[in-house]
Amino acid sequence: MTVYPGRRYLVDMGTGGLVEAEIFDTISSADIGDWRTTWKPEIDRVVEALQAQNVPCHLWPQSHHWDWASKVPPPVAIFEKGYALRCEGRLQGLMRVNSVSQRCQLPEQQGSDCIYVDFIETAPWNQASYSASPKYGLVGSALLAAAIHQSVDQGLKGRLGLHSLPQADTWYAQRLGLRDLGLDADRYQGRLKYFEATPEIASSILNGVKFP
Amino acid sequence: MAQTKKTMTLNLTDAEMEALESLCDRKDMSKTAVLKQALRLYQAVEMRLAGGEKLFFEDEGKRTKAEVVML
Repeated sequence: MTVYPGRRYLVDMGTGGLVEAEIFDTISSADIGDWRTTWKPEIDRVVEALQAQNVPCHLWPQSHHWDWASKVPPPVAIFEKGYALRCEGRLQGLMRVNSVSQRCQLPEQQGSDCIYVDFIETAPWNQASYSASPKYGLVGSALLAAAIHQSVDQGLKGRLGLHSLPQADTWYAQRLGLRDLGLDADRYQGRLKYFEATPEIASSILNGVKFP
Repeated sequence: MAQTKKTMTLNLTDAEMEALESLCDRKDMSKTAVLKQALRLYQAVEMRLAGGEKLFFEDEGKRTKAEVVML
């Protein structure tokens, strides 16, 4: 396990101050334990409340069913990697990336390899869809920056791709500046948009240009 | 804490080097990056086959689908 050397600051949304955080390039059993005991009860509580209020399913947080215990990469895998972000002793974000499951689709890099972000999620208390006053900002951005660093480390020059849950489309397009290639007919029954970063977009994300 | 790395020497035939260089051009990657990526892909395929899955190549235009049998 290594401590990821990239961006390691979150924004405390209550005070506006920066808070130091650590990114680990593995998802440990302790992380999964924290997910079970801290994230999942909060997610279940919110979903039960939405059910009780007869809120239609499509308006629920779209990652509510994700089971991170089943998403931990095999320990020997070199094609897949998990990341955990921790801050002030608590698990704040999780991500799994794959090095061999996606080829670039943008015309200027079509056919090149990229890092594919399989799953990325921030703790429910950091999401506006779960909490009226999210605790930390930049969790997702810091994890995405880690994925871009991995792309650079592997000689892929920062190229990165992902399919976005519809509730996150705006965040990827407007906050991070990823290129929107529209709904992908070949994956996820054509329900999700595919977004991609070129080396230039990746560089701008790493330089913090798009961050507050 | 950086990961420990080991160095190895690789001897390639002219044809193998030509294939590697062609992939480097096509993929916009260095030789080292291509070879490491090939290892990741090989491991991914082997692990999925070991888990009971099959690997296929499909051509929707020609309506053909062929299983890739890994040695």
